[in-house]
Amino acid sequence: MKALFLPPRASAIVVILCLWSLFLFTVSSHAATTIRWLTLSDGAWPDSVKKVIAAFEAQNPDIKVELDTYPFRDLFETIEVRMKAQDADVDLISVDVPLVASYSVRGYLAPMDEYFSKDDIEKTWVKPSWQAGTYKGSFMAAPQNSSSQFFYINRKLFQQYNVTPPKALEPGKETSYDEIASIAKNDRWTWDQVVDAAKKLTKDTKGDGKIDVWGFEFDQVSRLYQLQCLGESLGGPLVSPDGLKAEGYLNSNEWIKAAQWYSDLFNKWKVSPKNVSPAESPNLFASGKVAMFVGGEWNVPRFQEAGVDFAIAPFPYFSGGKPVTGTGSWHVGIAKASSHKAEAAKFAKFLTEEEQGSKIWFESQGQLPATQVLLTAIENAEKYRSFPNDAYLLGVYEARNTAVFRPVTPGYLQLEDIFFSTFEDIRNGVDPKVALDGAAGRVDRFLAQFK
Amino acid sequence: MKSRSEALVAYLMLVPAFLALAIFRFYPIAVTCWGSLCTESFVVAGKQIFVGFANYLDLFQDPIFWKSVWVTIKLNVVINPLQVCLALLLAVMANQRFRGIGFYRLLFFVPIGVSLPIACIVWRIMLDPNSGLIDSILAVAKIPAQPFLINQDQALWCIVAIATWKGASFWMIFLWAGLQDVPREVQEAAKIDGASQVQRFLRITLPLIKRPLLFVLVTDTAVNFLLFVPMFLLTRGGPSYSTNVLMYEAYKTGFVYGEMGKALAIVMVLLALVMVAVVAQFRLFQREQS
Repeated sequence: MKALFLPPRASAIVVILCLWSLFLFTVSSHAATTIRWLTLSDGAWPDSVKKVIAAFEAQNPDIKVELDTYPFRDLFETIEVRMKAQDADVDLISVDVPLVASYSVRGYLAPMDEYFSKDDIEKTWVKPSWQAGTYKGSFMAAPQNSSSQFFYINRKLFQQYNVTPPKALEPGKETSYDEIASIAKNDRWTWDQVVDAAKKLTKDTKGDGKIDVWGFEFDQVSRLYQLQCLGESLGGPLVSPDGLKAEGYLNSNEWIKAAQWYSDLFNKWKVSPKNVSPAESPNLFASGKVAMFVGGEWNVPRFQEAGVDFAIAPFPYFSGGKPVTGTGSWHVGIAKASSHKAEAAKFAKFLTEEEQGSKIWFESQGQLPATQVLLTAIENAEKYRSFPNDAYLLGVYEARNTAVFRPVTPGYLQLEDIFFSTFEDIRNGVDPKVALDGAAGRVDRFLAQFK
Repeated sequence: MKSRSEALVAYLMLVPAFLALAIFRFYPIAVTCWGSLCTESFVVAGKQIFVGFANYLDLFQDPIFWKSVWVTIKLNVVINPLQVCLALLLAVMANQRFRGIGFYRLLFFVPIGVSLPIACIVWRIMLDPNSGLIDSILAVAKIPAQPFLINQDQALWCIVAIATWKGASFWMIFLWAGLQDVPREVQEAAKIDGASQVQRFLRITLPLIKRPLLFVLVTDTAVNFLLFVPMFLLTRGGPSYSTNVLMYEAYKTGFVYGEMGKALAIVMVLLALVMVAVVAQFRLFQREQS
C-alpha cells in the first residue's frame, strides 16, 4: 500500500510541476496572437515595415506581427512553395500586383470583403489600385502603395564634364504641380538625348582602360516592370489583350527596336555597365559612379542619405513614340490557410487603409501612396513644393498621364521570369530578334495551359 | 539448422539498413515518380490530378528541355574525368614525403574549407567583367578582357572551373586514403626490379586503388549531375540557357513557374541519366577486373 504513494518531497515536486503547467497554460491562453507576414528583405523595406508594426502593436497589444523576409526574387519562390503546401504559419503575404489574379486562381489568397466594405475600398484608394487588388468581384489584396518612375541626374558629373542637363526638379527650387506638368509635357528628354549625354559622361578617369563613371543605368536592370516602358513607348504591348498570347507581341517590330536600343547601351555605345544586378545598380548612382539613372521614387531617400547631388526629371521616351512610365506596386493579402485571418486583416487595414499606418509607411518608405488622403495631401501641402518632396508631385502627374500597368495574364510569373532572362541575354550581346522570338515561343508554351 | 538461424540473424541485422533505404531512398523516388504523373489543380491549391504521361510528353516537345539535357551531358562528360584526374594528381602529390609537404597539403585542403556558395560569390567578384581580378591579370599579359560568366560560350566552362577548384580537393581525400593503403614493400620491390615511376603508378598503384577510385567516380558523377548552386548563384541558367542544366530547369519549373508535376518529370529523367552513367561506370570497372 505504501508503494502507491510518493514520498512527501517527491509529491511536493509533482504538485509544483502541475501548478506551474497550469499557470503556463493559463498565461499562454491569454498571450498575444502572433501573425506572420511573408514579405521583402530588400533595402529599407524591413525597417519601414517595423515602424508600422511598432505603432500597430502599441494600439493592439494582443496581436504581435512577425516578419518572414526574403529578397525580391526569392520571395515569389517562397510564396509558391509555402502557399501550395497550405502553410498555416503564414498569415499575410506581400503580393506584387500583377500576381493578384494568379494567386487568387490558385487558392493562395483569402477574400478580404468581410473586413473591407465596398464603400471603404472605393473611398480609400484610387480606382486603378483597388481594381488591381480585386479578382472576380472579390477584394483579394489591399494596396500598400503605388509606384512611379523618375529620371535621376547627377548634377556634379554633368557640371564637371560640361554637359547640359535636362530641365528638372532641383534642390533649392520650389515647383508647383503646373510647372511640373509643363516640364513633363515640353522638356521630357528622348532616349536619343539620353544616349548622346551618356556618351559624353562615360569616362575612364584613371586611364587604365576601365570605365570609372558610367553614363547611364537602369534601376531594375532587365526586369519587366521598368523595361515595359521601352516597348510600350513605341506602341508595342507585351501580350495580347486577353493575356494569352505573346507571339506577335513580345517579338513585334516595336519590341525588337526597343530591345536593340537596350542592347546597344551595353554593347555598341557601352555607356552602361554589364553584369550589374538590380540590387546593385542603385548603389552605383548613390556612389557617384553613374551620371544618369532611371528608377523608382523609393530611391529618393537612399540618394539623399548617400549625399549625392542629384536632380529629378521626367522618365524619358522614344522620339516618335509616347511617354510611358511604370506603375503598380505591392499589395498585401491574407493567406488562405491562415488560422488568424481576423487579426491579419486588422493589421492589413492598419498598414494600408488607416491614416496612421499608411502615413508611417509612406513617410518611412517613400513610395508613392495609393490612398486618396495621402495623394490629396501631396497635391495640397506646402511640404511637397520643394525638392526632393516635389518629386511626388511628378509621380502624381505620371500616374494621371503616362502610367501603364503590367500585363494582366494568368502566366505573369512565367512571363516575368522569361522576360528577365531574355533581356539579360540581350544585355550580354545575344541578337534581340533571336532572343525575343525564342522568348515569345516559350511564353506561349506556358500560356497554352490557360486557354 | 545452424545455417538457417545464422541467415535469420543476418537478415535481422540488415533490417535497419533496409528500412533506412526504404524510407530515405525508395519512398522519395516513388513519390517523385507518382508526382511526375500528376499536375496541380488550378482551383484547389495543393490538389493533384492524375494526367498519366502528359508531363513527359509536354517536356519532350520543349526545345529548352532538350537543350538542358545536352548541357547536362556536356558538363558531365568534361567535369567528371577532369575532377577525378585532378583529384588523383593531388592525392599522389599529397602522398609524397619531403620537407615542407605539410604546407602543400594545407593548400590542397583550402577549397574544402570554403563553402560552395561562398566560393561562387568570390569567383563571381573575381570574374566580373567590369572590375574583376582575373581580367586585370589578363590585362597585364596584354590579353583582352573576357566576359566569362555573361558569355554563352564561356559561362559553362567557368562553372566547370569553379566546381573543379572546389571538388578536386574534396575527392582527393578519398584517393589519398586509398594511396596510403598501397603497401610500400610492393612499390619498393618493383623499383628494385627496374620498373620506372610511371610503370609503378600504372601497373601497381592504380590497380590497388581501384575501389576508392570507383567510389570517387560514381559519387562524383552523381554529385555533378545534381550540380545546382553555381548555376543558381552565378548565371541563373543563362546566358541563352548555356548553363541551364536539368537540375536548374527542374528547380525553375517547380519553384518559379509553379509546375511541380513537370519539375518531377525532369527529376525522373535526371535520375535515369544518373543511373545509366553509374551502371556504365560499374560495368567498366567490372570488365577490367575480370
